[in-house]
Amino acid sequence: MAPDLVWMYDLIVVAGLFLIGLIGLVVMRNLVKLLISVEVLTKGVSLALVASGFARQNPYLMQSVVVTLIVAEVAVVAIALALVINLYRRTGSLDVRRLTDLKW
Amino acid sequence: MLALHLALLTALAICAAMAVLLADLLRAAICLALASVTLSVVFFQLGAPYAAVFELSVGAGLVMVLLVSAIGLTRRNPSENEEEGKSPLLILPILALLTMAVVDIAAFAFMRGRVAIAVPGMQAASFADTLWRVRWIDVLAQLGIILVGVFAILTLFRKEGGVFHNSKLQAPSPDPEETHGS
Repeated sequence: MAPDLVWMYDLIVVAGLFLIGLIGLVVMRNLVKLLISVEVLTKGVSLALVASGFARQNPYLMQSVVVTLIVAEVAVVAIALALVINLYRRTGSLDVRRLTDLKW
Repeated sequence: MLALHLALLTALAICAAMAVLLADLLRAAICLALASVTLSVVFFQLGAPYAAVFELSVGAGLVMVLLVSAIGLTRRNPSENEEEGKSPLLILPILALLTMAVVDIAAFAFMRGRVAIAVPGMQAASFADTLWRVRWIDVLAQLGIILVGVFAILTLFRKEGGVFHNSKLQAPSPDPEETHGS
């Protein structure tokens, strides 16, 4: 496979993943759906890093960065889900519009 | 080979879009796991087996388990589903994807042959060499991130009742005007 051609196709999908996640963050009201949107964004970033490593013929550096990214991603998901469960216990809903305690 | 790669990228985009757009949370989580599996195969194709294994085990496995556990511990209000399903903005991801694809293809058509993307002499000895010698500070950061995650979850799920236990936010006001007006 030609590296620059593969890179081009990969970056098209990266742009798509990033925009899908971004628009999910804007449109969706459910807290779990917002977290899924963040996950989609992160997958776009991972693909961009690995594709860049493939195109520059330096895969090891990008793999180590992606491994760090995945560890950070899991920590973010775990903490965010713990927050979601606590908020659900408090408000009885997953709707982000009900979180108005700090609004005045 | 390129056709398979394109098919995998298409499947990845479709699974990710379904994960965001599907109203049912469990199906959305399953679509996200499928997207992770597809992404790990793409990583294997791009010559990144370690990242692929991490994505498969952690991205598709652990995150899926966490999401399904959280969905099982919560119950969704059916009216929220209908409201999201009726949103006219859901067409935006498709339009945005098409727009970005056109812009991306035009940019790469302009850059192709003008920019050297492969830099000779940058090849490291191995993945372990890169991770433990070049990016050793990342490993320390990973340890820190894991510790922060563990302590945060322990704090959020302590037995006294969670993060809002000692807070004044514990008892929500029944009248919103009373809270916002004062």
